Amino acid sequence: MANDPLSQFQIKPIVDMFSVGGMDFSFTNSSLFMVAAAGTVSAILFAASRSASLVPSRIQSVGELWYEFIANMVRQTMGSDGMKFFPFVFTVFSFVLMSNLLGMFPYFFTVTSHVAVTAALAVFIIAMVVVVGLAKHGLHFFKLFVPSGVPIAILPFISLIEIISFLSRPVSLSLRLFGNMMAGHIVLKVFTGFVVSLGALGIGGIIGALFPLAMGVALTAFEFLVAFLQAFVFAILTCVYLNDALHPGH
Amino acid sequence: MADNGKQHGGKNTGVEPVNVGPDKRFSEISARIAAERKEAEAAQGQTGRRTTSIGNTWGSAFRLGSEFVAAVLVGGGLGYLVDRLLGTLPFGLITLLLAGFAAGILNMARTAGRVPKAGERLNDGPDGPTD
Repeated sequence: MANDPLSQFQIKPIVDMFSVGGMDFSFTNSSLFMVAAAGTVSAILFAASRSASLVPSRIQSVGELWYEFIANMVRQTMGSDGMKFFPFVFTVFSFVLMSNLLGMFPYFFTVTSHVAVTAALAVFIIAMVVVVGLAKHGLHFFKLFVPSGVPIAILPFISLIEIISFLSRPVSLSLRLFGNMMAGHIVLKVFTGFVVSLGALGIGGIIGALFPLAMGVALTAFEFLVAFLQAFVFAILTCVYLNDALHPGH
Repeated sequence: MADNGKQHGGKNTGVEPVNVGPDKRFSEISARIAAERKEAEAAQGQTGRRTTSIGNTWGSAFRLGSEFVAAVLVGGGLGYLVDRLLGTLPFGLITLLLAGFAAGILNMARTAGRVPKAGERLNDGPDGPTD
């Protein structure tokens, strides 16, 4: 792998399949790691639920913790009737978390470091919010953009700001995840790249290389934290936005 | 054994015997667990939405910046789109970029909990809040 920090994000086709209307539908390294993330999640959860016992085995308690964590989050943000969205939130969280964590392996591709992936997830979530809101409240849902008790003269301006604020949700949701993952991997690559280039400079360089090496170790730990935290933030914002559509009373 | 003792106590004295059947003890403990659980749920309902862990506070710190930037980007993007459609190049971009700035401030204030959420309006009557 090249020593420049951006080559790790390159998308390379693995299997050339077909292209429709100028769009390339090849199976790429990104697709491979999406499949890997979904497969790993399924494998862990299958192993966790295969032999359920009253006293859980280690893998079973991993599955139980995982379930409980998301179930509690959904209940706290959406209430008990929000549990009908639990499968969706659980899927989103698991996919993002496993993509982030798989990206931490050396030479692995980080799916969530591409804005196309995170934007697709975010747009899907916001589309779901709009559909659920319209189904539950009808046209009354658009009252979201019309504050009450505002003088009619400045109402168009306020509505415009509210609409922009609503439209910025998928943007901030996707940019945050993408930005954190990409920036983290670049910083990691730059610092560990210093180790290699300093190490080539003889004995003084090797001593000097210890500092970026220590930084690389610290950043790796930090990146694991960010990988989990961003998956958590993504999932909890999904819950918050769905809660707006579901019961706006809160 | 237990069955025998129960019958005995009921017939002779009418006083609750010490050695009650397992069914009764089971229903007693179920009732106690249900009561405890209800209490715990009520307590959690009051404080449930104010859970502050390290992950949560850090998460909201990350949110503030990106909420603002996203709104400015959306405002600028919308402005450019309007200009492309109407052929009024600088003016739509300038206006909507400023509106995006305002929306960004609104987003941040909402994230920090200083401004009520837009969704709260749906619950009010057609005339809005009375206060």
